[in-house]
Amino acid sequence: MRNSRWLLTSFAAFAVLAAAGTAWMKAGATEPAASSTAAASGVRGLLFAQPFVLDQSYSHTWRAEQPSVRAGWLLVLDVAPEVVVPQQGYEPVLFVGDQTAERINHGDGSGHLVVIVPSELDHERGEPALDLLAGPIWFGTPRLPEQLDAKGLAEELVAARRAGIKPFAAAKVVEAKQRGGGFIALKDRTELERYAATLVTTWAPDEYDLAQGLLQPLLK
Amino acid sequence: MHRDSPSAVIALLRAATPLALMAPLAAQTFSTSTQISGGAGSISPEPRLGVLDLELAGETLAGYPHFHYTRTFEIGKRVWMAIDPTRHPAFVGDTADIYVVAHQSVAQWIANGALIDARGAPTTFTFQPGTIQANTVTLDNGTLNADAGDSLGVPYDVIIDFDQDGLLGAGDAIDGFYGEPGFFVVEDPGQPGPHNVIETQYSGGSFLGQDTYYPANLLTLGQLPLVVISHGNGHDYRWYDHIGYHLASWGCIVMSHQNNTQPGPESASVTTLTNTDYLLTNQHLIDNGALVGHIDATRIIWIGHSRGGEGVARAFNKVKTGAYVPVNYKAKDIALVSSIAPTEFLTVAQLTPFDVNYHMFVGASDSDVNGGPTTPIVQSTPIYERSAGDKTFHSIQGAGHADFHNQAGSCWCTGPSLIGKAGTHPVVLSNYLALIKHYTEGNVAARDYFERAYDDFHSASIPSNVIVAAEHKDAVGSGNFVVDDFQTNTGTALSSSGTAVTATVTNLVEALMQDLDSSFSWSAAVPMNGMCRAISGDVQRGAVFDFTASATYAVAVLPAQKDFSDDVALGFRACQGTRHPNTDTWNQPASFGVRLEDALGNFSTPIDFGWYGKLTRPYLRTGTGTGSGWANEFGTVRIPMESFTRHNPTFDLTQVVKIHFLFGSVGATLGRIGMDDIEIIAKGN
Repeated sequence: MRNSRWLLTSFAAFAVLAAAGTAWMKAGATEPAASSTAAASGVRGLLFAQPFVLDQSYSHTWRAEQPSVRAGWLLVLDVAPEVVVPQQGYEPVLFVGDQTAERINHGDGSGHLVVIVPSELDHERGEPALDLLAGPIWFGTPRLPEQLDAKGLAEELVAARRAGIKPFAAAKVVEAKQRGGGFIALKDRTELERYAATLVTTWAPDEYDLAQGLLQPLLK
Repeated sequence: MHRDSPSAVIALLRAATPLALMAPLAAQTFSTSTQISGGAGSISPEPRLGVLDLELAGETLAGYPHFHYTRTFEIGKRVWMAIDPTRHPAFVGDTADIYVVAHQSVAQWIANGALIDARGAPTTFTFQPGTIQANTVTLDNGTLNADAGDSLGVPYDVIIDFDQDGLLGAGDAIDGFYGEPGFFVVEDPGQPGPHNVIETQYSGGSFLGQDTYYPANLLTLGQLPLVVISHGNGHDYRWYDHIGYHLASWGCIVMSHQNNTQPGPESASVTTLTNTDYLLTNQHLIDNGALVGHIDATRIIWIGHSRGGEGVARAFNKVKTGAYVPVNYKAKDIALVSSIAPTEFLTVAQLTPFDVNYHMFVGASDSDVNGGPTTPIVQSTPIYERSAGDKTFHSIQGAGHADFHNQAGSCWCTGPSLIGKAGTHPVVLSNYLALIKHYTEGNVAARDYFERAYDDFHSASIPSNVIVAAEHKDAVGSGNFVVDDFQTNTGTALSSSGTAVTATVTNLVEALMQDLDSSFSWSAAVPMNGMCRAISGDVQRGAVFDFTASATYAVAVLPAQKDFSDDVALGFRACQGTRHPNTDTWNQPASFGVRLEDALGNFSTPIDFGWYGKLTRPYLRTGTGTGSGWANEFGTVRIPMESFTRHNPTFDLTQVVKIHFLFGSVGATLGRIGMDDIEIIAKGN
């Protein structure tokens, strides 16, 4: 079952990326990045999902509007390593529903990517408003997240849905949420980042050194 | 080496020379500045009337003009002195003692003219008629002391003691009396400096992780420059130990920080700005306050790699325009911005570095920010071109994107003759030290590392197989006279200074230096092939042409600018055109000739600038079209003005009417050449 879903998702993601890549080439933006050709594999699975809430907000620099963040999801995704090899040119933007995700690690070794996904809180449901059952997770057009605004994000979402990219199955989402546990309440962005670094050491142990870079002693 | 006008010093001597203390000097007459010659082309008719301040120290050249008067010698390298007997005929037949002494100021010479040779004893020499080669004397074989602590360069003067009395006095000649010392001997800037280094890692919170390096004996060192390093995308702030340890060992405080590169270079620029401020604000929290009182916030250097390289250029732009207002520093406090293989996502306006001293490294083998013509994003060089400050550029053949940091793994490189970190790091370390010493301390000796042709002078730590194309241009407004920078008067018959251009080279085109067809394949329809120097919205123009036989390119000189005698050098930059059939046929480093014409129709002897250093053959990398050869690699050429009168004293440097560039007859017999920035380099630059 997982394999057939994976194939469908792969095909759909490839279609989105291919279309986006064509437009991007026509615009003369850049030569094809290595990641765009490999990006057909996209996001293979949702491994971990934990909601967070902060006492102090921070700015989400992965969108042009830089919205203020007080809550959201900490996710661990199973991704195709070749899609997430860091490079200096445009990289495929990772989307979760109608939001851009901030990558904490690279994931090109383990295939496991720890990300922060900002969201408002849905007080009725008692979790982030960004519903993982409703929103797909995919790699979109290679571009700079800091230049991506709500309009562009909406266009990406439409293209993804048109390409048949669907949210993960409920069972997978539930499983990931169970792994994540309940809300974690943190003071601020620094604590969030350091907590995310501990997830990196767990899920992407090959990036232990990167995590240590995030966990240096805090000056007091 | 003397760069300052002697007039002020003459006045000082007249007013302040204690006659009783300095009888030999007091006995002479400082009647005119031309007698205190040494400027290019001027010859004193009565050199024995005073102390003659001359260029003496230098190095031999294998061809005409046979000798290069230079400022700086690296330890272990031979030092010569030379006299052109056709310019100083009065010397011929005289036997003199030649001294190398510790540099003294004019005041010190007045107080004590005793000559104490740093080598132990002077060299006795009898001046010969004929050529400068016959009057070239080895002063030292590399044994002179170069230990200047954490500075660069021990200064020396050279004295020709004609009366052999062991005193600097009337009739003697000296290199180093006015302005700069005669020469410097420097430690190899590619080697570690004298200080042990402490490294400390800490975090101030999100995107405030910092890795800081400082001299272990910081307490004794006063205030030091601050070097901030901003890494690239997918890189880590702890991957720049090589730069941190090196610069700290030479007396810098170096901080490498977490850089928010993934959203893009605008975000990265913010972390450069905030981390600089954070360190300055919170230094009391680091290592029990070890840095407090030792960071000079008026001498800040920003180094950025890749997206971080774009970020530092953007960061300066924001401070300069007021888009960001730092707490602890201002735009004028940024002494140098250096971008290593920077991306170029942002706009021309956002990535204009204005008047900051700007530097750039690129690797010709970079497979990430590859410098190719397919997209502006991977073209670093337009940012460099936009700088109006002092600017320096190094393109390193065989260096990949990851060779600039020190983390193991893929080099992100492609092409032949790869040099890895072992070849790349010595280029980086030695040039950073020279640039930083110059722009934060005013160190004069360091200038030679970026002012002279790379082949002429570079750190001995750099392996001999490393090929570097280097450029340097003094800031706009530095006093140099621009003969032709191709920015205005865009026809091929008129220079930007408004004078006539006559040329017999073929296919001469002046245009924006932009490769327009996204390919390095040679096409006559794209004359600016290989020129990845401008993108849409840029204005950097240049000229290209080719030759297969003897041909010339001559530009007339404005009458008001005809006197070159007080100038330092004729400068320009040139390159070979990549993948052009002529370049492929020549297939080696190239040079051509330069000569001047005076108002009487006399010509200086043609100088092949290749004796100082040639234009690199474009890196033989394939891809992005057919053929071999990557982006065009400019090299800056500076021909000392005095060399145009070598063995030709009748040539009148005060009446220059035309500059002739000679192709085919001197240097390469055929070629495709790009040319730009023909300038007269003023004294002091």
